[in-house]
Amino acid sequence: MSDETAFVGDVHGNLNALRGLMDVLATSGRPHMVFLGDYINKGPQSAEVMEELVAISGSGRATLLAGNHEEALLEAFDSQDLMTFLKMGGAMTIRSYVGAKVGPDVLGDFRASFPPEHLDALRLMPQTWESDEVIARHVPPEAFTQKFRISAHAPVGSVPKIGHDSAQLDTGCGTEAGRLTALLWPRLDYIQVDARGEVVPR
Amino acid sequence: MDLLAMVTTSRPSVNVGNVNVSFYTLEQLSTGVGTLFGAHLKRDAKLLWDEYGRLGPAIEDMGDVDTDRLLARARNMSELFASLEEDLPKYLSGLLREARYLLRSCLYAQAIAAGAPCFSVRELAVRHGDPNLARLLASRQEGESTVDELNECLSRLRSIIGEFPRSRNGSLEATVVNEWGQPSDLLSMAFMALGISGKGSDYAEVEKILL
Repeated sequence: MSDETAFVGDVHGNLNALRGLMDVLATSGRPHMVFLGDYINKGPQSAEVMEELVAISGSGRATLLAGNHEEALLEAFDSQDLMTFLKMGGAMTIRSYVGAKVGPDVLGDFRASFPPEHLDALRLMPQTWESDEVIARHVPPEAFTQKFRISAHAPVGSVPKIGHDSAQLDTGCGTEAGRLTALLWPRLDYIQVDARGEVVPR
Repeated sequence: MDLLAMVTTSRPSVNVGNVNVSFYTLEQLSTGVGTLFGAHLKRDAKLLWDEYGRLGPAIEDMGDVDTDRLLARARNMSELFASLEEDLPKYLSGLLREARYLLRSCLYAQAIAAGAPCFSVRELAVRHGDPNLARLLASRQEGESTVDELNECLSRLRSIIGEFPRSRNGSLEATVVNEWGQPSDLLSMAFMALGISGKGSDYAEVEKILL
């Protein structure tokens, strides 16, 4: 295992991209991975992505930060109200978990199909990961810190935005043309895979 | 004021004060051919800027309203109102907005089919000898939505398009989930009935409905 840390942008339900990126990172010294949230919605395999991430996190190889899509899911369960979650594209996640047509009581079907360990993982997700030099959050951290700021959340196009004091890593994974990006710290280099999980040449 | 802007990739509408800007790709605009939307644009729109000469021809090509097609589409969409026992009161406001929209569109289509086009709810109220109709159909409403208003709209809608189709999904939320990914009028109507979409990339978009 290397001393590097890999920060990974929004996955949004694309299992192929997640697996492709994990394969590349496995051959790059297996850095500790910090996932920056938004594992669900948009792509078709939210349940499978969560299953994989919960397993990786349980083995200690990764830290899973909370994204706003995960927060919306928890809010839906806690408030018994799916409206906001559906407006964020939650239909794909519900279908992924239920695995078939839902009945009229969508929340009931969704809850019944949602593994308790996924719910526990969601509730335990921290907002922030910090080291002496870096602060990472799903949404961009405040600018007043001296630390290097890493975030996702806001799509930045097909390549990450890497500046002298911050990096933004949401490169649209979960859509057909999107990519999944990992930023390697402290090298400040990055790796990308496309929607099929194939490495995007630099 | 409603502004339309032609764009290369679809994006959500923007609303600031009394100005609403809707963005359409050329492909999205082409779905307006034969619709009330297209006819309204062709008749009433003022072209402010068309640097590449694409918007003008797109609007000129809108053609006449296909009223039979419009009424058939409205009937398909009315499936959304066939599961009210599941969806009320939570989605009353969204369903009433959709019912108003469908009823208004169907009444316009009726007027066109009768050879006397009309795009004014006040004029419709006069023609039908029904002063309440203008209030019922107005797109901007004051006060809380009521079940009575919804029932009134649905009753009038039934008198135009017939009995609504049976709900295949059993609820508005189930319609959104089960139909997601297969763009259709029904999905768009169901999604919009959830409420006004948020802004920014966190909120999903569905295909626009051009009736």
